[in-house]
Amino acid sequence: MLNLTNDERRAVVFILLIYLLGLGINFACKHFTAGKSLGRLNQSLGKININTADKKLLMSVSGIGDRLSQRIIDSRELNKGFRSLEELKGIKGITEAKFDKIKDYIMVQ
Amino acid sequence: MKNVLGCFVVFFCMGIICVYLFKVSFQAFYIIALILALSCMLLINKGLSFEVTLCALIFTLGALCLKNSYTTPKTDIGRYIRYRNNGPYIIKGFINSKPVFKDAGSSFIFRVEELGLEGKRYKSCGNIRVAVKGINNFSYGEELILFGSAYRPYRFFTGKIPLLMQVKKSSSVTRLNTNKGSLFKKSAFFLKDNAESVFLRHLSPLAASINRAMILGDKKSIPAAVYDYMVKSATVHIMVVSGFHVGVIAFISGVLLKILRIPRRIRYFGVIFFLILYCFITGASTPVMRATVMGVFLTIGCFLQRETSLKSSLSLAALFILAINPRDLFSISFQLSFASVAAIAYLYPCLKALFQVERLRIGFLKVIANSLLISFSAWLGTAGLIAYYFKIISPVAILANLFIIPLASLLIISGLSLAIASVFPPVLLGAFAGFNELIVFLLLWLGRFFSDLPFAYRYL
Repeated sequence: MLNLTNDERRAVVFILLIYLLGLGINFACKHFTAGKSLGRLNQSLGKININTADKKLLMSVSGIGDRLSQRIIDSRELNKGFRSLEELKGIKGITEAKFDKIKDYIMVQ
Repeated sequence: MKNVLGCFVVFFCMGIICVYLFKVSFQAFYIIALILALSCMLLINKGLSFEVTLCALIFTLGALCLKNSYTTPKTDIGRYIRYRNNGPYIIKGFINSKPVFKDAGSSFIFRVEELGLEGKRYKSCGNIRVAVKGINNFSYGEELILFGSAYRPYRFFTGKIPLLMQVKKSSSVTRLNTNKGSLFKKSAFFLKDNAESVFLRHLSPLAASINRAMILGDKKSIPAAVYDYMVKSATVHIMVVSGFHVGVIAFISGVLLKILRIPRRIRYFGVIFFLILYCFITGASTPVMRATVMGVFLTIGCFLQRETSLKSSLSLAALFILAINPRDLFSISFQLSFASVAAIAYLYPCLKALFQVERLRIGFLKVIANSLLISFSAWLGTAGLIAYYFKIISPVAILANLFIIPLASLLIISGLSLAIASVFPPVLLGAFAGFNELIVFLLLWLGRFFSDLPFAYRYL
């Protein structure tokens, strides 16, 4: 009826399989978690790990400039790494307001 | 000669490089080209003499193309804007690109039609990059009169649009309420905006930014952390719209047109239309142009029922792009895009024969072996360029790409399905969005994993 070739049939079935899998994921998210999607899992993957980031990467965060990034790196080397984000508040130049501004873009790992 | 077009590309590029390195006169080269063209006509029945003369003609054509691109019309805006004279200038024209909005302002490419300078009006032409403060609701094609300072930056590397204009106040912009943009481009930007809003509405911010980069060619919203570990694992190329996207678009549009019972011969033109539309949606960058030109030529080959060749279509794409803008030869995206595909086209068959992959009996092993060899060929073809331009070498590239590329392919299919399904009731979108989020998670997690491995990368 549709005159689809074998390749086209495989493509249509493949897209329907993707849809089916997506339905299952959606259902599982709603059933087992508070959220509607897997979006929460992804968030940490977009954040900068302040224990491994170089100066250029730290400076890509809005609010962290040349001097502040160097202070963060110096502090990291002195303390042999950060254990929590709160430790950043002890660095000169990171006020409460600045910490609130940058905390969504960084993480400790 | 097996690949005639490949040979033409080589000589064309040599001509471009010759003009780039040495000062030559357009008139002298033009006369030489005319003489060579006449000689070709006279030697048409001769074997080697004709081929040598033809190659020399292609060489001079490449040289002439670049030399011609350096020359601007007398009314070009660049001739009015001097290095140390910032204006102010008044320019009239229309917005010739999709405006980018950032920080309560916007930037766009402006096609100039008239210029006002020191109380006089001049007819003008050319493009200029404009940054406007205070207004962020411009649209493509909108006609404007701008008042501001224009200048030529000292170091501007692309050579395409070397002029910048800054408009510091919203009162310096006069909107003429007319639109001069092309309908085709307007449709492309409309579809792009729709797809962007679908991604933003149904996906998490990170997944939306990844989809916008991979499907729509908009890389600006990718977080720096993601970009960093993709570069380190040498998988950042998946963020660029390329051949796979074009292939999927061609396939999907072909199937859709078939379901709509469009006759076969008209279907091919429909596919070409969708390929060109997608090229404009994604910003018509060099890798997209390459893939689109190759896709169009391969489709035409199918329409004419001729045997298609990857090498010939790659060469044609190179000639097409260089004929329009020969300076693209020196751009990183052109070099990387063509180097990777050329390496796959030329190196992969040799490696396949060397490792005797065809002898493998188990289908699954054969697929893995072929994927490894394609990845290795692409890595070999681009490793030198990446080391030279980005000062990084990633030994983990081959292994990382073996896992990342299939996931990227799935993401492209699911992202495109999500964008196309947006014309249907929203209840369908949740499922595609759920699958998309899973693939984004796996893709990024693997990218980070491979970049964290010991000896994954090394800066030079």
